[in-house]
Amino acid sequence: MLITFSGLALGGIVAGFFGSLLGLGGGIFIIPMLNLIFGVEMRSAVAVSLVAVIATSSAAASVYVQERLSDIRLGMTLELATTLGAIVGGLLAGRLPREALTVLFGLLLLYTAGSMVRNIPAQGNSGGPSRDNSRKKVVPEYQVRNLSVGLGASFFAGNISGLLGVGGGIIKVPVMYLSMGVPLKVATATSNFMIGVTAAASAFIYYSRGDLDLLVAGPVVLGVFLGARTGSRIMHRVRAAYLKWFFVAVLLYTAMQMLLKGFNLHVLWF
Amino acid sequence: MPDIENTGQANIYISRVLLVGSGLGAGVIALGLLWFLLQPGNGNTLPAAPVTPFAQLADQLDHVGPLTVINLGLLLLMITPIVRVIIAVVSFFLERDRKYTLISLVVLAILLFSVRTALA
Repeated sequence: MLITFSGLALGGIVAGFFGSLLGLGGGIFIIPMLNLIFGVEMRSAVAVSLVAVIATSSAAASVYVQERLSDIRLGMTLELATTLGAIVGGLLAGRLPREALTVLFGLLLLYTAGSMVRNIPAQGNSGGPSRDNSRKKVVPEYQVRNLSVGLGASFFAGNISGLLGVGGGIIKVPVMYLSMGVPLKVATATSNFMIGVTAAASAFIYYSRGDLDLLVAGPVVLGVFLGARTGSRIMHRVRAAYLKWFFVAVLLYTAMQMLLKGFNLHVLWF
Repeated sequence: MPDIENTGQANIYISRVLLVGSGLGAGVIALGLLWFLLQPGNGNTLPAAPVTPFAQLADQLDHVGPLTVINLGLLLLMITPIVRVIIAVVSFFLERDRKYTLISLVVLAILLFSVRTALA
């Protein structure tokens, strides 16, 4: 009992720490860990991850909001789409077989690894800490463009979040930054502000289905919360670029395991 | 986009709510886990402990156990983002910003629709 608890909490700490250090959020590591190592069913793992995502988003966003980096109006507008997408995703997760969810998560891991390789920003620092991390409160003037593209991408991001239990920053931040003309720091902060609201939209659906297990969620959520706080605190001091290739390898390996499991093939040693 | 600085006061409230809500939730969960571990007679395997549906949660409040405490802590975390949206609604309203009051009201409605599924 105590050993399982400690294992879950430690796993949460590690996932939260590296997730926030790499700017990916905790979900991308927590779900494969629960599913592959602890044998937690996919939907339950997603439910736990959603609550962890809410906790870390609240803790992280409070910093960004205070620094006035997040554009609350833009965030609220895009949340119209992310919350709807999240509800659709959450309901869909109840209908898809667990193998399909496992395969989809494997594909998401591949996409994440690809984004890291190509240095596409997930949370503003996926390829290494940005050079400009002085805590300047001056936000450059910008004009939001392509709002319809942003709303479409947000719906999709919400969908992924509700279906697979991740924050969806890996989709929103690049779209805000590359297509909508939002500065990277603002895009990152706004995405962080939105993630908790998006996750809450589907978390209650998982709750109502009874997918959330108290004794799994408790230690994991606490662990992720602590790990993410530490990770985001030292984020600016660590050369994440050194970690990049190691984690690309971890993501690819995990993706392979999830895909094999999803297709009911023999699972290799983990 | 309107000036971000205008929402300064709301920013501070939202930031506090987020911090207090997430910290409180985590604290309550930690207490519940500790209580659970201190109880005698725990086996070696983790028993399945699904969350309690809202309707039955009220009944449990008469005889609160460690699992109820963990459940409440998780709910506290889950509710934090909703409170955040409510504050946004109020602050946009006070700024007489009709467009964004309406937008955040719709977001709130979507969230409450989701909560309603848990009530059913």
